Amino acid sequence: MHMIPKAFFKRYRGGLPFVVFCALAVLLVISLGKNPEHIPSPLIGKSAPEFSLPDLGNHRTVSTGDMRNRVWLLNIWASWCAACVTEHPLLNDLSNRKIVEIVGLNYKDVNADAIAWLARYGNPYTHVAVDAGGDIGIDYGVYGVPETFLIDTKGLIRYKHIGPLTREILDDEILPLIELLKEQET
Amino acid sequence: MSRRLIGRLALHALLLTGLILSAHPPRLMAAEPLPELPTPEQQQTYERLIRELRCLVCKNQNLMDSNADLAADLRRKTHEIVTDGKSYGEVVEYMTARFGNFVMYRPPVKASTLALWSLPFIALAVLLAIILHRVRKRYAVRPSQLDEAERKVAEDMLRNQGRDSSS
Repeated sequence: MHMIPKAFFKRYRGGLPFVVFCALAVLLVISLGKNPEHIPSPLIGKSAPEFSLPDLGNHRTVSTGDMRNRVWLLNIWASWCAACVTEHPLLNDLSNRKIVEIVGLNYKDVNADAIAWLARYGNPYTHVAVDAGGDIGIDYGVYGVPETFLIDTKGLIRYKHIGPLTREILDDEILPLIELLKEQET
Repeated sequence: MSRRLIGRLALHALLLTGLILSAHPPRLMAAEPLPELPTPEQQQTYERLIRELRCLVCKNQNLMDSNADLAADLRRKTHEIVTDGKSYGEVVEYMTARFGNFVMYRPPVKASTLALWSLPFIALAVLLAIILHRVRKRYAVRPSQLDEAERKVAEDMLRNQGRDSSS
């Protein structure tokens, strides 16, 4: 109280609420531009949670162990997920160009629906792990399908994207990171 | 517009913004009947957890309120872990390791959340200081301001009074 000169209060008595109001307004305008759906994942830099699940459409299993010493994408999708359709051509393209192996995690879906969906939109996945109960989804902190994780040769999660992938995100963030991770390997 | 008026308007706008921003506490209404847990302690832990854990896909609802698919899954998971004999803290750890601090309605006190937690106390201190300052000023005894003519009259009166008492 005594640190602030009396003259300050005399001069700005009417102005102080105005200044506070302006500061708050600026803060709110900045926050308005942020995406409230974007919550930083605590999983970045941690080991990808392990799973061993049935492989869709055959009688084998697919596990995180199978992917050791590889850079790979884990794409969480479902046939009931409308946004998955929009990102799917990008995944097909990645797979055709053989840039990176993509494992699908079929989240809380019905096998027949998932198989029909892949037949219709194309199958970019090396394996599709079936997570019918959604337990592995919880381990990966999934709350907005589709989600995509980039996992390195040591099994660490290096990148996570919530929601459908876009060309910009792939070209500007994911592909350069894949290049970097592959370079580090050689 | 005078500066005083602008100040007053700004103050009212500020108070209104504060009112709008003050979040409503989560309602205590279960989306589905509460399940039975083996012991009363576990029941208590479970109910506390589903009140304090956020439904991530909903806007401002906890797990208890929400009937979203994910909320049901997380309730089931919480139920499973608590029945396994795990404590409140262990469930919180499990959830925040996967979904981040956002999953908790009450963020933990640590370096990155220090500003968040200290802000109300700082605001309160500043407000009290301003109120104290104003009250002091209002009740302070102020020496009256006299102009030249008044001062002369007063001095004459004082002088005359001194003469009266001496004679």
